Amino acid sequence: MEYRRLGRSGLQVSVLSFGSWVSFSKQINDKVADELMGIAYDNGINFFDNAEVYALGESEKMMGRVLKKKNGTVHLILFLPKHFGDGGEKIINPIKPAAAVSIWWKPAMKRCNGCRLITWICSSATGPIKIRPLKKRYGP
Amino acid sequence: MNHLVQQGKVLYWGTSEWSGVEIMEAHRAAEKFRLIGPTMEQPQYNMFERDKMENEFLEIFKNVGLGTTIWSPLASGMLTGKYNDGIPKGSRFALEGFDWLKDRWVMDEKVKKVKKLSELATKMGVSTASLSIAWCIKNKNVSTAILGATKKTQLFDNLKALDVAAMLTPDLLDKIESIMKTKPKLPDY
Repeated sequence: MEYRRLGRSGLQVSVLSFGSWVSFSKQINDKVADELMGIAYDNGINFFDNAEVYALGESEKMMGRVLKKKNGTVHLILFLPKHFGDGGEKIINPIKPAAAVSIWWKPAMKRCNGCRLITWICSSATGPIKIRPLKKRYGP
Repeated sequence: MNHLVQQGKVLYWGTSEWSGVEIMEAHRAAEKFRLIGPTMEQPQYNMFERDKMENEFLEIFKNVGLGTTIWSPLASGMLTGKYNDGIPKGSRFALEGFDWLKDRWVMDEKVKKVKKLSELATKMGVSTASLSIAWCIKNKNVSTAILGATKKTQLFDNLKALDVAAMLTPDLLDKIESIMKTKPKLPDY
């Protein structure tokens, strides 16, 4: 496996990673997910993509269940939960922008069985959470 | 985002499907208010969708740095060649609620290109999927390409992209270019 730096951060991510969009819960079950994530991990993959909106949280729960069983063997998990998806999925917690971030974090952690969340991605469909709240919250 | 990082809940934050202008606005605001700017972006990138990675983000890579966790390296499976002869059962184009993926990708012209790509892959002795993924990671601005395999065989095949990437000489990349003809045109001045 080849590892590349994620932008200017110190994170070294595997150049191939494993994601659960569409497939988890809709196409595959826990057993297959377990097997696939095992193969991915054994081949040096250290980055697993997921999001609250993938299968309305089921995808995170599935990955969480799989990872819990692997407890002790998985060392580096990079989770990338996103606030909203753009795949036409429904939003689980449509929270107003200002308070949203901290409120989202806890339930996401719960769904993933407390795995390490390394990077939090903010998706485009998010609109209000993007730039304006930054100004609103910290503006002059 | 800044709060999550400062509270130690996450180490970095990033964006998904933001435009280059939006990413830079986040950097501008972060710098102005002494906050932490985005580390990475998750754009779509594959032989059909290239503008962000090969045009729009170029200055961002150079000036502030941007990691990319690209999604859909296989264009929802289109670039595996599996849709060359129609839509197989159990594939994601056959799933209810994801027809928009199908509408986006199943177009005759694209299928024609993928067929030619498959011919090239066969000549190289590799699968169309591993060739398509290898092509993505040849771009050094890609930090990681997200795989979406649903079967063991697919995943093992996808992982071969690492070896296929090593096979991709400038000549072969030119050949792929002449098949796809999707390279974004950059201004000459």
